[in-house]
Amino acid sequence: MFDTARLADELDQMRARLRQLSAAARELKLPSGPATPHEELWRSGTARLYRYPAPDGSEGPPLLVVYSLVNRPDILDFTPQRSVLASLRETGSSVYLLDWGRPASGDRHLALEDYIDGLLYDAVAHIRHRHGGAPVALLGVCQGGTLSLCYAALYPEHVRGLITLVTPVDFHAGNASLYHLSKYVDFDRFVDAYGLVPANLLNVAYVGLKPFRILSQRYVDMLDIAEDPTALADFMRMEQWMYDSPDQAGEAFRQFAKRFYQDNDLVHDRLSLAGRPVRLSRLSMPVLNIYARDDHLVPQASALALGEHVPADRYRSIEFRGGHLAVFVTRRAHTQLYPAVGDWLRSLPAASA
Amino acid sequence: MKDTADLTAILDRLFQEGQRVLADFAALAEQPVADGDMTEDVLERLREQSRRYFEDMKRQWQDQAQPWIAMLRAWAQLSDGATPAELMMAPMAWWRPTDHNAASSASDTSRQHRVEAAAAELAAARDDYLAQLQQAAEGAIERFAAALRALDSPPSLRQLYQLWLTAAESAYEEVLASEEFAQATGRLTNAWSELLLILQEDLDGMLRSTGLPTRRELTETQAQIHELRREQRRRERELRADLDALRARLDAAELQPSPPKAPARRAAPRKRAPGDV
Repeated sequence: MFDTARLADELDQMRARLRQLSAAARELKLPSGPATPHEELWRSGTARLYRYPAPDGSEGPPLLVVYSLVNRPDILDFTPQRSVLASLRETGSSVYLLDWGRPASGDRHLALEDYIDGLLYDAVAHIRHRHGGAPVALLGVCQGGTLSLCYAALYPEHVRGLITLVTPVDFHAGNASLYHLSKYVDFDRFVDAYGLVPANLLNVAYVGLKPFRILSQRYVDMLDIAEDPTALADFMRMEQWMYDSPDQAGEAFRQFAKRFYQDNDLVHDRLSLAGRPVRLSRLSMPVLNIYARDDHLVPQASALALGEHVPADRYRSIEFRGGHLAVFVTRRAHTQLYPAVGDWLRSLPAASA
Repeated sequence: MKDTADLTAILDRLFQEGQRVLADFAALAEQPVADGDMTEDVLERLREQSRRYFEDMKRQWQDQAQPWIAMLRAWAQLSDGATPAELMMAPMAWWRPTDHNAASSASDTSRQHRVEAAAAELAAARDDYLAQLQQAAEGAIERFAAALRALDSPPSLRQLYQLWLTAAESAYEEVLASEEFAQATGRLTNAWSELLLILQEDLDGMLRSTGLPTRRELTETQAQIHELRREQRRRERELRADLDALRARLDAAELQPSPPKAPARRAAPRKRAPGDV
């Protein structure tokens, strides 16, 4: 059944390509930071608020991008050609990014209310102040979308429009692998033991969902791009980003794991933050829900559950063909998805203070 | 993360991962030509590799946990419940009145019992988890075997790899979705947490005895700092709200048309009220 001579020959070729790839990669100069010019506007603790000014200096309605706590937002701005932040700037909005930073040991007590009703509240207040008190549009990415939903439900008057990008809403819906794996974990004991939850433990959990794709196929496919320096540089940036995750503040992690993943409190109207109920029925602004069709981290059904909580006349969803990360880095996302986001943003009622 | 050192680390990892994947290929491609059924030879070799892999994995995990468990056991047994720091202070015990009746209390026994129970639970949880993974690996080999037997022409290396990937992924995902795997994952995570907590308690006892700050004290201090930060944020927010309200009143006052100016009048002297000074 096997042509061993042919297999051995192919293997030799692959080894040669790996050597070629390794040599080419060592010659590469990776970009040393974010691709889009920006300035720091405000900081509090580990969090930073960045502004991405339009090249012509114009100011549009404010759009705040809220990233997840579990990875770094660098993926939004790898290269000028594939920068989510640059694409959003093209929509005519004044773009801001809230970077949560990297919690250190002393931040282990940061809870979700500190993130949502503290840092996010203050970042929105800062932006509103810059824009004469006008409400902002929020674009929440993955877990950042869930945090944005909570904020918009607490302060609907501050939010002009809400975009959720690959965002989990119903944590038990669809092929909910992360819920499944977290079902029997005692997160109280876990957080008590670790304090600050090590990023590498979370990476093991994420990689464990697709170990063959992430730990094997990626490196086989990598051999096909040995002669393409741009593709190789993109691959290496992604590789760098994947394992460059921050540790997690224990209290916020405990709350998110128990109340969102295990108890699914958000969709069952049982969630409260600092004693205040968080009800999705309070989302009074237009909502654009973007989900990825082949997302293994946030199943379609989990994201689409948002549609059950927002009246149809204010709700729109966009399905993107691809996986969780495809919405950030694929050419199609930048030629099709973000222009559609721009159309939606421009359709929002004019902001007034 | 942007410096050369990290870039080199990524390159090294890429090269290692590539080498590892190619080594996996080599296991298939460099199969010696046999007279019998080559497919069965390859499969038997994979089964053997899988068995060895899980035996190694079990040994590695035992080795990782062993020093901690040994240390905890030694503390619990040698000291009859006392921490190493208390043992270190034993030569100075002459100044303390000895309470012969209190020797080897129930809590000492329960401490030893807790360490033994945690060690046993960790070992059982680890075996349980690895058994699930091994089941996935065996399932992958059987599915791969079925795919190989269905071939009607010799596959290329990439085709062979895709067959393996599809078989391995489907077998793994079946196990991943099972209730048993979720239970095994939870059990292993909880067992590690328990062992860490026992270790931290013992270390805290040792630190306390030597007059050094403990983890618990550090955590409490961090909690206090956190509360202070929250309080500061609340006050800043109140101040901002007050400032905004004042600005709004000022803006409103500036927008209102000024009343026509009345001719200046000399103010009448105010009568002194009782109590005025």
